[in-house]
Amino acid sequence: MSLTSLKKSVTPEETIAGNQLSSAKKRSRLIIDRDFSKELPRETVRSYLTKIPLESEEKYVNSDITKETHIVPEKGIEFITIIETKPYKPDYFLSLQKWEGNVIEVMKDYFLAKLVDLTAPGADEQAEIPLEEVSIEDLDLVVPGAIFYWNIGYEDESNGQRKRTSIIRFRRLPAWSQSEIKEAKKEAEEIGKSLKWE
Amino acid sequence: MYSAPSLDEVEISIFGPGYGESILCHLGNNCWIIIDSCIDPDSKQPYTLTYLKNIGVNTERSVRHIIATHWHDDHIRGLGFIVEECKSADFICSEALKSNEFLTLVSACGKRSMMTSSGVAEFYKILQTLIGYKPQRIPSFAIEDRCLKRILPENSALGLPCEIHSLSPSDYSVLLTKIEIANLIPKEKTTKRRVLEISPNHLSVVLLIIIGDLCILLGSDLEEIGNAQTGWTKIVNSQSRPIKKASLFKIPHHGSKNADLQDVWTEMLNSKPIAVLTPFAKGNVYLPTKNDVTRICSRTENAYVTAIPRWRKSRTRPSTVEKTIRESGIKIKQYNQTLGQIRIRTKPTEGNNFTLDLFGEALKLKDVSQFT
Ligand SMILES: [Zn+2]
Repeated sequence: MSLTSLKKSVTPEETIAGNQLSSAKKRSRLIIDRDFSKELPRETVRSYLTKIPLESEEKYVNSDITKETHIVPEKGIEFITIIETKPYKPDYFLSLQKWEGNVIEVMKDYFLAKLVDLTAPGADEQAEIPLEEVSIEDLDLVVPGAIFYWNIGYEDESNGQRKRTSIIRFRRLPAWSQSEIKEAKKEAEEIGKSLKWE
Repeated sequence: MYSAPSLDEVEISIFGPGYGESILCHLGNNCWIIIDSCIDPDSKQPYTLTYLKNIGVNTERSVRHIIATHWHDDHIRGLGFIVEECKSADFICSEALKSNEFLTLVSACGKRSMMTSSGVAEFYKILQTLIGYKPQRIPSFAIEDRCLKRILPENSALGLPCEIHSLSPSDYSVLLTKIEIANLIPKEKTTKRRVLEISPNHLSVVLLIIIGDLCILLGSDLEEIGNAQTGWTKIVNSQSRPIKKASLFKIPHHGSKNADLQDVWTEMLNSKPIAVLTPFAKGNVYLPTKNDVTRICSRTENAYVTAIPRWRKSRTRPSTVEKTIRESGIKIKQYNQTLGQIRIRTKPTEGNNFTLDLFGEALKLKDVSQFT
């Protein structure tokens, strides 16, 4: 499921965060001593909401897990467990423009690349890209022939802020494996035989 | 524009936007040859096929030969589709590619499309198409001083003998290229990336077409490095090539200095031949340069180019995107994709009279300076 569709599927009834608390209360009695929505992205909170079957209610309430929970269930009522974690990732990226690029030449401060527009295909373009636009972990990948994606769009942060960004990500293609090379040699032999190419 | 040549009329059409080259040749009697290919970015179709269909040529029947002079992106795009469409055509490419190593390279890198388009991927498509036919369409290979096709006068609508010769690659170039290609084959545990082009280009196929007294020299992208065993020096000095001088010359490698040899003009061409070329742009290189234009124009006043060698401002995108591009410091420009066509028609039985038409952005080479 993509982030977009996930976002849409979250209804106030399903959310226990912030001002949706009262509607959640209608379904179960919840005691929440912290407002997680201020610390965790909404989707992350939701991903840690776990439904526990009624028959196992006592077991879970007495287990260690309950030490992590901040919701005490009432007997016989469907309840929810929240486990606190601290993962952080941007909530959502709305792409406005995407290119596939291929490094032609690397200069001192920039590199030249051929761009293929993936958003609105048309004539090929060429870009002069400052090396500072490339993340440190990708820098060693900037060599002629390397392939990358360049994305421009909006990034929605967990704190609700929307940021306009340009992201260049180099493809970390897996290294050539022995079997791939073997397979290519075999195919080459077959082509060679059928087309008398040797 | 859209009328087919008569059966006794020879046509040479050179198509080229700012990046790409394709040549079409009518040998008479509805027999057509397509040499290299470039595509229309709007329709995604090869320009040559669109033109042939527009003038009412049945491409399935009437295109008899498809020649790939080399496998660089600017010469091969759309050639797979052409091979698929032109079912009665045979396929010819450079002898330098006739190796198991080249097939391995194409099988490895062409099948796993690592980029939206690439020369090896196009070649993989060509090979798959050729294999797909029953019986298979067995390709032929071009090398120095080889006659690729001969039509006897009695079988020609023109009543004239017709021959197509390949003048390159030389034996030595074939050997060099095979070694270079072997080095391009991916090695285990190395990172996957796009296959780099071999430079200098000595595997390119130079063609000489002779129809009666008419002689046409098509220089492809063959470069000259001053080595007697390769490039243009080897061709000029060949003792076994046809000695006829050409009156029509497709200038090699987009007019670049590194493909120029004065001896070609004195030994292989008539004085003041019609010379045509296509522009090229990649990285920091764009061809022909001002010096190239001056040099070529000093040799013949009949020089033409299919399009203006220039970059264009990149297309306009939504303001948010434009703003982000500006802020990132990234500069984008676009290849000039405006198509130009130089069409030359002549009736060899009626002497050396040429009708030359320029379509689209094509212009006299000496006029290029006004635009650059
Ligand atoms: Zn070229």
